[in-house]
Amino acid sequence: MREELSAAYPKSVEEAVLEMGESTKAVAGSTSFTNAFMPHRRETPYRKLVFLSSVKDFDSIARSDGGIIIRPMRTAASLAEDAELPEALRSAAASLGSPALRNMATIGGNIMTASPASDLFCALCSLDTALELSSREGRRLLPCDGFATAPGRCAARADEILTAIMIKAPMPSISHFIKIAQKKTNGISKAAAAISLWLKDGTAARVQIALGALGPAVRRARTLESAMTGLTEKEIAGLGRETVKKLLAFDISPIDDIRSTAEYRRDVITNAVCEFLKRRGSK
Amino acid sequence: MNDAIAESTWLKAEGRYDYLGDINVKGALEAVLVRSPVPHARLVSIEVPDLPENTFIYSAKDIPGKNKMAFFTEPFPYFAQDEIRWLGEPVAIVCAPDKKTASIIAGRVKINYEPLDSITNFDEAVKKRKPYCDTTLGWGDADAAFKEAARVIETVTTTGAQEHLYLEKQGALAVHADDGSLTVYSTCQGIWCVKREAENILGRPCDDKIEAVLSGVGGGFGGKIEPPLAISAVTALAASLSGKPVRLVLDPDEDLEFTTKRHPSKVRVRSAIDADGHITATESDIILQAGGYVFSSPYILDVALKHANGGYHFPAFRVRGRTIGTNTQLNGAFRGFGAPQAYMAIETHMCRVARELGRSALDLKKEYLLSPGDETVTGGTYRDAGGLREAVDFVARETGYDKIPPRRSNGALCGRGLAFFTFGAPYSEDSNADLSNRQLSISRLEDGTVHIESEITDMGQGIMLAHRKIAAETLGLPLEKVFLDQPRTSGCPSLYMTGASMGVVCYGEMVRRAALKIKEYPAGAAVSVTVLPYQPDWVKYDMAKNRGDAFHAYTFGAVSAEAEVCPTTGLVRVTKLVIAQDSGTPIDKRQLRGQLEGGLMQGLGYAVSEEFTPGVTNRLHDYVVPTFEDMPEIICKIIENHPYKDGPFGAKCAGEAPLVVVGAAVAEAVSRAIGKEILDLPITAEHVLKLLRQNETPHDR
Repeated sequence: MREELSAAYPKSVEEAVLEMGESTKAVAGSTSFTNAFMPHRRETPYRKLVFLSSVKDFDSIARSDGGIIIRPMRTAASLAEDAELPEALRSAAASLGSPALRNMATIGGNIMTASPASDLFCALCSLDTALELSSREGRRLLPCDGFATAPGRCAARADEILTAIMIKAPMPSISHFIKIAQKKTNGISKAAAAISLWLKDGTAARVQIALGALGPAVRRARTLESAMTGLTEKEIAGLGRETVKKLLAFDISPIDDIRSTAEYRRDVITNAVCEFLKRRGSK
Repeated sequence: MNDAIAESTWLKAEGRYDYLGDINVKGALEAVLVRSPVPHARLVSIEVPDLPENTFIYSAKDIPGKNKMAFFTEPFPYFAQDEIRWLGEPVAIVCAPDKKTASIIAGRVKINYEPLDSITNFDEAVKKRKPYCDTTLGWGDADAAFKEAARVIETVTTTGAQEHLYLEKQGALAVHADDGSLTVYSTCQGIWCVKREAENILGRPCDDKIEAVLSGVGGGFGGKIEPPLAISAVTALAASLSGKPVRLVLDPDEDLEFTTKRHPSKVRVRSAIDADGHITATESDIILQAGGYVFSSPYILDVALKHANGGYHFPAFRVRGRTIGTNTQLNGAFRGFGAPQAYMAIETHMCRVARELGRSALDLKKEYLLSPGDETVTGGTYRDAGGLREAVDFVARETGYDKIPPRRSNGALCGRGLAFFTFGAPYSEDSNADLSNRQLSISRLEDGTVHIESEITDMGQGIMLAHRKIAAETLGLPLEKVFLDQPRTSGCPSLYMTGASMGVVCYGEMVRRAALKIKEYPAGAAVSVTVLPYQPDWVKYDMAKNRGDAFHAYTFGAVSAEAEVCPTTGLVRVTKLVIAQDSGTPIDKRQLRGQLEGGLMQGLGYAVSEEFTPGVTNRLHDYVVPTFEDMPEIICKIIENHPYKDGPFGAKCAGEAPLVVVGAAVAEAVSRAIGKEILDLPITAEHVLKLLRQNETPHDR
């Protein structure tokens, strides 16, 4: 018979990192974890679960001139209601699952599951976000972009836990989230995009676009970003569908899978991005 | 009759209604099925791991009775023996003190097999496999009409596999007593059939010591007609052999992946058109995808054939139907049986004919609408057309079918569609059939209370309430004086499965007739009356030849849909569904409305998002079922002024009909929105966006 799982309920980050190691899993809101390892469905590869819900102040959020620091246990429901967050993050949070799921699902969990369709992670990649990882050896900061590498894989080591999500100021002038899903509730993205524009003197001084479910991990559309940088919104709107499609193609590698087809994903993200840019350009 | 609320409604709302999982039996073992990992193979041997204490495993070789389900005439084994014919076919049952242990042991069972050629793809099976059944019905001389036709118009439509998604998953609990008696609790649509299967697998025919009891049923939709028979039988086997109580409840994902689905279909419809633009004959070729065994597919096909002409009369009509097997899950009974597939085909075909003839689809459809006296495909007669025309006019008006939809501010393309139905129910029995083994009893006690002893199953559709109302109304008693308990085989005679829209009309009329007989006895006297199924004299049906009146009556109605298509994403959003249905005189309007709304929503999922593909959409977050957020504005019109004289208080069937044309109506709405024909259900965003791109001029791109 297999060994039973043990559980830890650390009260602080210091306690939490001491619990981490091989065959150990940090659990946040548990919405993905429960789904993957339903009781009696399959044996988990883990020996110990570390429940982060007991860590003090882990569901807090702090704002300063430097930016916003979100702790990993902040739920999607509270992010969705937070009017001071960039629109992309708020709207990604609001689009997640169902009300019950949003009450449980956390921003930390959404990042660490490293799903190519993680909506919150996609929104964060369009912002200037750094992730703080902690272990017995100390803390390190990694940029959000590039953190996830493949489905279920990310740059964090097994002994590390995510302890903070830092969004640096200034926040973008325009922030927008696009989610294409079959249904409104409990819909999982067939394709997603988070768009940030920092405008200066009427032109896009900086552009960050993150794409979800269009490759093995959430990824930035760097080619399109460069093409848009320095242009006015009107000029951006004038890029045209075929141009946007070609520019996006450099940074996406959509596949046929259970939720959609590569062809659809390529078309729909082009359409949706163009539609948003056109709408902005006509304002 | 005034609307009433069943006692069980409160219990359910407050979470106090007992389902199978709520029954506490001390020392009960939990069971898990070992399923075939391959779609088709020769089964060589089963290697069993070391079993901990109080853990048991049983397979085909342990069956003391027959390893062939009693319910079907064609072979269908409880456990694979020699040959595995479908992916997920049960091979053994493992019972242990807890489910986790049972799952782990099941995972260690090694199935040794030699793979055989398998086909899981429907199109491939159509080309390579012989059909399980092949039937042709019709009237008139279609061949002559096609020979003389000025032109022939043809459509091919397809539909996908739909899951019932009852909230309570499949399961059974069997409790064995020292005296050899065995009680099988089952969540199913007919307990007498469960009892027969338990007797059959144990080799104890007609054994009074085997009892089946209905536990509360948390939804059925036809999905609890066939699967519970096998599940209950193998649970009974495990309890009997181990001497311990055994409970088998499928996991939600397991239930989704391996239980019955609505048959996918491919239907070719052709019409012969003369030089004046009239349809002179129509023929339909229906192919349904069945699973690894024939199973119930002939019954589903039969319903498809009998609805192949839709609500129309053509000068000549012929339908050929086949079911073809793939090595996949067994497809089976589902609300509407084969009718949704048949309606998608005929309604879409009529829209194509109209377009090619340059006419409005509604005008063309109305021209061929059937009239009283028209022939059915089995040579019977439509005795009336009830509120059919009234229904069509109502739904057309409510959605503004003929009007051009106003431009949407969100840029969505908008279209409206309409389809109508005649749904036959109840089934006719052969005019010479002996129905004496199908009974229902009513007893009146000295205290004046009345007790209906009936196998009828309430799976949420409210049939128990309907039957109590019928008895109370007939006897002039308040509803509280009429009782109907959850059936157990020791407490009620065998009636039949509850399904196929037989509950209100066929069984309800039995209740009324039994109650009428009770009334003949003086008040205060204890009396018990047993009645047999009632089939009106004018129904003449030869079942062997499939000739005559295949149904007692038809429920008529129409559905219209308004859909918005997002040109950016191709996503379809149904914004309005309107139904008008003539179910005769309703027994309970609120319950009927529940059936109408529920049928529309289940039909909506079938139309736009639900499709089960083995190994692909086999988890609930990938099998896309609509939620309340997807619910459109719904308008239900109950047409009450056409009482059915042979139904209880004028009632006709209600439950299945509302679903059967939703797919066709939504398909037309989307077709009109995007200016491209929709021939396949579900209507995926991927497909719609592809069609929209065909519309673009090179300049747009």
